[in-house]
Amino acid sequence: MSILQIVGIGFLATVLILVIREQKPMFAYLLSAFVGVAIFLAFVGKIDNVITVLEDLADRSGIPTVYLKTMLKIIGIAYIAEFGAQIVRDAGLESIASKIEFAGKMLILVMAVPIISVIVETVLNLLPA
Amino acid sequence: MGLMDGLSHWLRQIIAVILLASLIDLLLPNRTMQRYVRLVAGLFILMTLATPIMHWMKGDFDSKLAAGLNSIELEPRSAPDQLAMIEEAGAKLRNKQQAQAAELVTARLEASIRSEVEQSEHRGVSKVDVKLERRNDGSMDVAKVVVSLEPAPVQTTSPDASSSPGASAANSVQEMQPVTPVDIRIEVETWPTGDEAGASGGKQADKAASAAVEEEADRVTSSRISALIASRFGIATNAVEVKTPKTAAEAK
Repeated sequence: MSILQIVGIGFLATVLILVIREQKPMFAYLLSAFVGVAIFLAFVGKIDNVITVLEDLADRSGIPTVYLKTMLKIIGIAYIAEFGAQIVRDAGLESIASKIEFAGKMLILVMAVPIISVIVETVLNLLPA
Repeated sequence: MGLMDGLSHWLRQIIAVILLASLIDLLLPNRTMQRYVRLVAGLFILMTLATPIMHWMKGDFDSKLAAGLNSIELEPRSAPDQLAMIEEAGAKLRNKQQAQAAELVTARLEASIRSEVEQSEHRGVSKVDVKLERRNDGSMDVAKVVVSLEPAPVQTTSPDASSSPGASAANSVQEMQPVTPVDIRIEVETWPTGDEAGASGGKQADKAASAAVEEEADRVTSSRISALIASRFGIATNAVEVKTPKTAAEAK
């Protein structure tokens, strides 16, 4: 699908939602959520190319694979949390959306804990006892 | 040359990690996550920069880091949940097994009580119903045994040795009676005489008496069966209920 098609779908959905919203806000919300999911699913597969390049880069330069794996996991968490939060935000539930984002942030920070612990240990070892 | 190799490897690693971090920064969906992701990416870059120092300090930090990251992947937090889930499934299976065992025991017990009673009473048993009860400690106990006897033509044909001969004789007479009046009444209708009224009245009285005798016999039979089951299977006599066809009819 080209970008024109996506923009067309988005435009169409927007007009429909604007029309429906007056009569049935519920269906307008469902339509927006559905269009969002459809576009997301149609293009989430394209990220495969980017990830292949990243893997190639990591492979060639010899950086540990855990680095790349952790980074990719962080990207996944960020995308999924953001996506869910936006759908909820569309329904006007800002508080729940921010909680979803909070959960995503926490999961990302948990990823950083082992790195921080290794660095702190090394720094403490550097200092003369 | 070894030093140069190491140096070039290190530089390549730094460049790759920085490229990786910038690409990931680009891939990010929005600004809210950006700070957090930048923190992690920065930590990775710092790690890469410090690799020679870390190797100098202690050799195995890579494996340590990998173990730490993998342990996050494994989610140790969920271990208790999984344990609870497994235990729950185990309890379910155990309950199922116990139910099956109880069913089996019930069927076996019913069959053996039936054969015992039939052998000792020389009388057909239409149904044996054993109800089990679960105690607090999880073991099963026999709560109730209901023995339904068949109407007893079997008993009349076979003289039961265990009961008193008088009772069996009364039973056989009482069994005969429903048959004979039918025959006689047909004759009564053909030859009406004055004697017949008196005879039939006598028969009525006979019938009432035989009903009492029958009840008595039933009671004797049921107590006998209860005692038998109690002695053979160790079930309390008050948990045993014997239903003769007559009592069953009365219950209806």
